[in-house]
Amino acid sequence: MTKVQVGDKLIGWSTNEDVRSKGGSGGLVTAVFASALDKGLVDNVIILKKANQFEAVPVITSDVEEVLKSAGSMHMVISNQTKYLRLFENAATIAVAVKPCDMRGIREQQKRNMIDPDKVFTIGLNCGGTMAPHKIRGVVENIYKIDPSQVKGEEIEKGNLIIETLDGEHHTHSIDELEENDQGRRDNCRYCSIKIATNADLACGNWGVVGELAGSGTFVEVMTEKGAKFLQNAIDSGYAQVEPASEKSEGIRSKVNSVMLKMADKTKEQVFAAIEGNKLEDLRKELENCIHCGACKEVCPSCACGPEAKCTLYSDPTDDYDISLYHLIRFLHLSDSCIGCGQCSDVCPADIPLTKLYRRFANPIQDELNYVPGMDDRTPPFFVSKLEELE
Amino acid sequence: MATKKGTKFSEYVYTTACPGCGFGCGVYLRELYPKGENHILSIDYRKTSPVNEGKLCRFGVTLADYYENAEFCLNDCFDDEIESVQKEAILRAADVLKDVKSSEIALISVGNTTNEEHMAFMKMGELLDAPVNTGVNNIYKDIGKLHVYTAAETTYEDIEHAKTIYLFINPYISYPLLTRRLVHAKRNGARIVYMGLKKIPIACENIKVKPCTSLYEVSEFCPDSESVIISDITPYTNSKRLAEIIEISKLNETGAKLLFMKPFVNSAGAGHLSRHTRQKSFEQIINEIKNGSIRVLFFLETDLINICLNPEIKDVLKNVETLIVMSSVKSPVCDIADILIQTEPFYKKEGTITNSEGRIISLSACTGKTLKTGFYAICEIIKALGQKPETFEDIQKTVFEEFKIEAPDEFKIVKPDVKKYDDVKKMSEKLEVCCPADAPETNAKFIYEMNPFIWHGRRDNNDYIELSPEFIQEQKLLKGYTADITCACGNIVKTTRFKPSDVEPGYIFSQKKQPFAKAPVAKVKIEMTHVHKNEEEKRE
Repeated sequence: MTKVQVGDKLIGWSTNEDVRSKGGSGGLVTAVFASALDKGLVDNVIILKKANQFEAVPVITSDVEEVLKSAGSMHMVISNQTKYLRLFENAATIAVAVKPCDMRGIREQQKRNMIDPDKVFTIGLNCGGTMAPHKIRGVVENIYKIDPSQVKGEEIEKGNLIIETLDGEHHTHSIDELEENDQGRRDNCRYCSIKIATNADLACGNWGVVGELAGSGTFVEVMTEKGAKFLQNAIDSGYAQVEPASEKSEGIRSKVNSVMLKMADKTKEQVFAAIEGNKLEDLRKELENCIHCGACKEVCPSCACGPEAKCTLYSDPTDDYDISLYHLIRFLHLSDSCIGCGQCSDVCPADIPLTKLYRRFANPIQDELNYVPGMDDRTPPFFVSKLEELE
Repeated sequence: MATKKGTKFSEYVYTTACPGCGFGCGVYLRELYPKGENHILSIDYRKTSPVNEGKLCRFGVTLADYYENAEFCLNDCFDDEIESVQKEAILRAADVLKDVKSSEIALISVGNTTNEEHMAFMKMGELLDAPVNTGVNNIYKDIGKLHVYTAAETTYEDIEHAKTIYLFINPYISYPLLTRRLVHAKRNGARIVYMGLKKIPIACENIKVKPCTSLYEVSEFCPDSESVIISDITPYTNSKRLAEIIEISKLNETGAKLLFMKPFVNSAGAGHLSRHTRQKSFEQIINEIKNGSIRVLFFLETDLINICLNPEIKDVLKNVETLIVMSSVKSPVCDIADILIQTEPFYKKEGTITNSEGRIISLSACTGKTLKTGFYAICEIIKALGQKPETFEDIQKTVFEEFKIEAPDEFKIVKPDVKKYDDVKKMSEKLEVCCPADAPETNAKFIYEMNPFIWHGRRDNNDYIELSPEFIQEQKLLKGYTADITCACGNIVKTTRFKPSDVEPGYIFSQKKQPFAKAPVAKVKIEMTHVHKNEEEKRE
């Protein structure tokens, strides 16, 4: 009998053939969730309910069958699991699959007492980037010349965006070419520096799954004791099977990650090149179309403030400042904890590139303080009263 | 949430549209039910909506609060199982309607509900020989055959590809989701010309156009085939200005595209379905209530107390013998209704709406079930009036026929097949300018910037006025203090906060309904008061 331990690197899959074939990379995530619910390790599981070919909404269930039915990769879907989890106010134990940025948000909320770490079990999924649903629909229709209703799934692999249609055909196009025309991944994904969710309890994905198991197995790295317990439960209860990952598998996974990170670093250099001219005027111009909807605060996974926050209380609609204090306070307030997830840009009704603006403030601060928010349990630097203590 | 450990949840997610205005923004409304407790309502951003791509304005972002504070508790009222209390109200409504002449009934539905409910209401109106009034058809009457050019012909995407955009509305305030389309247009090289009395940052040119100025005198308004003209049609639209926009762009055959935004979620649908009915203006209806010729007033998802700028409207409505209100939200008119028929909140409704572009958008449930309580309530009245009501499917079929579609597809624009007249003539010369009469004791003109918060009577942080720094200096107003605004008649005074803004000196703007202004443009007097704004807040 396999004894799962922290640090283990394994390849796993669902023992349920239906789940294995339907699920993303062998259905291991589905198997772990279903077994956790079945054996009472959690009260609820968050699954993604497909709204259409390009969008899904997170919904909660305590039904094992519903979890099994939800098998199927929708990793390109952008959801806001952090804010969704907050709705439950720690009233139950919940298992959830997350992208690295989702997990970073959850960790930042945990540090602010908003999400109880004991109530949440997380499986992190590798992420090479996501695409805005309306954008990918347009790309499918106009570049791939495919009827959007015929799309089964999508994947970024070896520099291509692969669209799989219902007839099983794979259609490919260079992601670089798409991104040159702003038709690819979301801006923040292109320079994101976390591709494997090693901040979750289990870090899962298909990178490094080769040979016969390619497409029907998941590479899983056990990151925490809780992760080991949940995976062990899935194995012991007959929902999942695992085998040790080979050195070759580990090497490939690591190589894919490193290629992705190099690309991200290159993009980051381009995006955050020094601004020539008047920086303040540049900022003012970027923010001049703000309609003060407050959506950027509502969706921010790092923000734990209620409606009466510094950014809202110190800004008054009767002020006529060139740049609203709301934004200036938020830029500073989040400079230690912005995770660059892109949620603020996604929802901005004036299409202000907010994530880029937040990162302009956050990059130098986080570099200076040597702090990567959401990756460990370290106290956010701005919580520490004396900055010299950080050194 | 006082929920114990081990709580299990159930959840319903509705794929709906924001009811704030006629833009048609897609949104998910989420009802989360901890076992045995009241639900928690929240929104989720619907990023595949071709209308707003997941983005929402301030009204949409706070939509859960709107419903939490305004909805009736009808969560257990499924489909045709209309609660007994509702049935009693429905039967009372039918009894009242049976006993009056058709000329004594006024039915009003401005478009705050689905095409299907509106159509069922029209069927009820046909039975009573009373047309359904939408509140804007009097404007169409004013502009005569020019109205054929107000039908949907322009999409939000067209804005992004225009060379010149003429704006007659403030997009930031009135229809905030237009902003990003204009941002894209500007990025694509468009010249944006704003015709108003406030400088807005998105505009390349801000042209001073007073409410009483004729567009024929504005040389900067010269649309061509690569132009898009954006204005709106609301119960307060100035018919003369509307006629001039159409005449200059259409009768001169410039080839410019027109986009008329609408104030209510289904204004476009209701307007289209009711286009052939002989309607009355709100003003006409109010006058007929005052003189006693209208005895029964029936509102379908309409609250004139919110919509009308005149604060006396509440007292006027009390004059009708029977006020019947069918509503899905707790709004002021419900408090004075003689018969109140409660229906499910808009986000739970099944059916379709039509947005300002002409997209037919389906309202559905991602998980859970949509409801037809409101629809069935109208059917029950029809039944009580002695006629067999049509089924939902039949009514929906009629709706689709009216829009010439087989099934709704939000990715397609439905351009109504409107008959173009050969002899469309200029009308603007015959129309009056809506300018307030001179009152010597006033020193400013007040202008409303209509927005979803006004239309729905919702509170926001917008209780202030905007005026120019020059005017502030002239009136010796002090920063941090308040100003007194007095109406032209001198009877109503309000102390309010103010904001220096890039507006024309002598003009005052507000995004909130103000007691001192009963019309879209009003003459007022402004004076310094010696109350600090913080003290004012405390007093409130």
